[in-house]
Amino acid sequence: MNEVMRVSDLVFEHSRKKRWLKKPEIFRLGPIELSVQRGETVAIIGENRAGKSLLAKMLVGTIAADSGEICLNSQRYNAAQTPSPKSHHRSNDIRMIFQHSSEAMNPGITVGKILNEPLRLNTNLDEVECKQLIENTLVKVGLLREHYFFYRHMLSDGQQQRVALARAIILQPKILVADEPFAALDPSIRSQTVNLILQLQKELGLAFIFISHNLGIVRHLADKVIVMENGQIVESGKTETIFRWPQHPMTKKLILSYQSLVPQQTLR
Amino acid sequence: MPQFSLYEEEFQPSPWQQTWREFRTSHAAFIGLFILGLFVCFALFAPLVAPYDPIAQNIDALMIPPSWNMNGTISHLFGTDSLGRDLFSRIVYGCRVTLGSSLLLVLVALMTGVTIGTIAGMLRGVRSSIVNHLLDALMAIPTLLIAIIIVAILGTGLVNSMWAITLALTPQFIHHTRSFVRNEMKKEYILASKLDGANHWQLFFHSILPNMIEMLVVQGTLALSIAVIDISALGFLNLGAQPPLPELGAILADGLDVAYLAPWNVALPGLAIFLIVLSINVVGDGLRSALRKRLSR
Repeated sequence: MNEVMRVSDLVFEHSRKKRWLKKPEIFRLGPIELSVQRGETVAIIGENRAGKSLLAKMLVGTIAADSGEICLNSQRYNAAQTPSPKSHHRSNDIRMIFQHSSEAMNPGITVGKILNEPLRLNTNLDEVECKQLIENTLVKVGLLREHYFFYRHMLSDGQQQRVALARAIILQPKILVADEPFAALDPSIRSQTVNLILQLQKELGLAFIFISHNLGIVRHLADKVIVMENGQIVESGKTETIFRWPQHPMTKKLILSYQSLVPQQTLR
Repeated sequence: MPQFSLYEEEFQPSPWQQTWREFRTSHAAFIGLFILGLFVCFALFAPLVAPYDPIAQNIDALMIPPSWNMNGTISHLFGTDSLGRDLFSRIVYGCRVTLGSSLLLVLVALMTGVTIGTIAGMLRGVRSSIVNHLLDALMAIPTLLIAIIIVAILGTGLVNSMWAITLALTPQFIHHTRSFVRNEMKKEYILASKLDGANHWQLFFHSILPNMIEMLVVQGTLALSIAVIDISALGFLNLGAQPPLPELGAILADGLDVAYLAPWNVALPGLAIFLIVLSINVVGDGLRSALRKRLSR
């Protein structure tokens, strides 16, 4: 059982009602076919408004799709329904890191309480075990045990990112979905975080789906790349294949813009 | 990953300790807290503090001036009124009636307001609007006027005036809570909690309520000072607490008859009301800035 996630025929349609003297806006995402293996890293690239974040949100279930099916760990979900709070398996198996990790942290409660929430809701651990697990997870993502008592405003951006990561991995999920996790970080923190994720992947066998505009990181991290344009997957395949032999004009543009910064290589 | 093991910090201040630390740095707020604490002590331990029965009349000691006056005696600290009742005891008991009933009614208004406001904030569309505007008609009329209307219907008395003021204060809590909950629900950390599987109830208690305390403190102290003023105003107008009951406004109204002969009968209860309202506002302000600093430093 190597496949942890399979998405089939995922469609989302967003249309604003037609108004006077205004064309109706229609945005259509999909149909999306996607399959993710255990321990695999998938990168989603594409320009803005291509529907990348929407796809990520639909995968974790915050936004209901119009039709389609998501198979998680050989368990089928109807993607057209938002998951009810009771479907614990889902939040156990797939976790999300949000684009702005500072907004995804509650400013009124401590880091410990933030990390305690998924445990309280999804596991039957008692308080001592919870605290132990939280402390271990904090150490795992490179924070100190004391950060248990810290509030959001006491942490730097990189530390907030680590807390977001800790929150995502504390339930030991099979899949991690991240929406531009490295966008706001400086290069050194960014590479620390990247290494952290690689290490966690090795330890936990985590499948990692992430959205990024930074093709350097994509090339470094991803096994598979998906290129999106206007809600459609225009190209997908192995990272090296995409980077060396891009087929679609959109992909070519993206790769060229990246390689113009790295002049040693030329397109073949 | 830390390669070496570090000792843990031994003492981590709890949120309340941090708030207290910030609160102490403001001297005005600290003095205000001291004065308010004094009044709360009066309210709690009135029978122990007051030297005389507040209703007992003493014909031998009519209108004795306060003790610092040439003609005053130390046995009546604040003097006596036109019926010979000890003014100090009356003010102590008056704090109990005025401050106690205000605290009680603000708590009731806060609970109902926050409950209804949260329901309105969590609901969507027309239902949310209906719940939100349930008590809006009351906001069109000033608090005191509503109180007078309700007292006119139900009859005078302290309890009726308390109901009236509770009813008048509730809509503000509803509106503030609703807009606050609305705003919070849009934020990403609520989404993150929802992904953890939290239902609305858990969302409110564990995610929204910790952020709402500052708003509740601000609105609560505002409402408390309004309540103290309104209770004593209704007492003064003879619509609230009825004369034998020592209520600060009623004491003030009693003293007004003899204001020229015994001005301390007006000045001292008035001073007590003024100090209560002032200290509530100062403490509320200090508490708000302490709470805000706790989450920004």
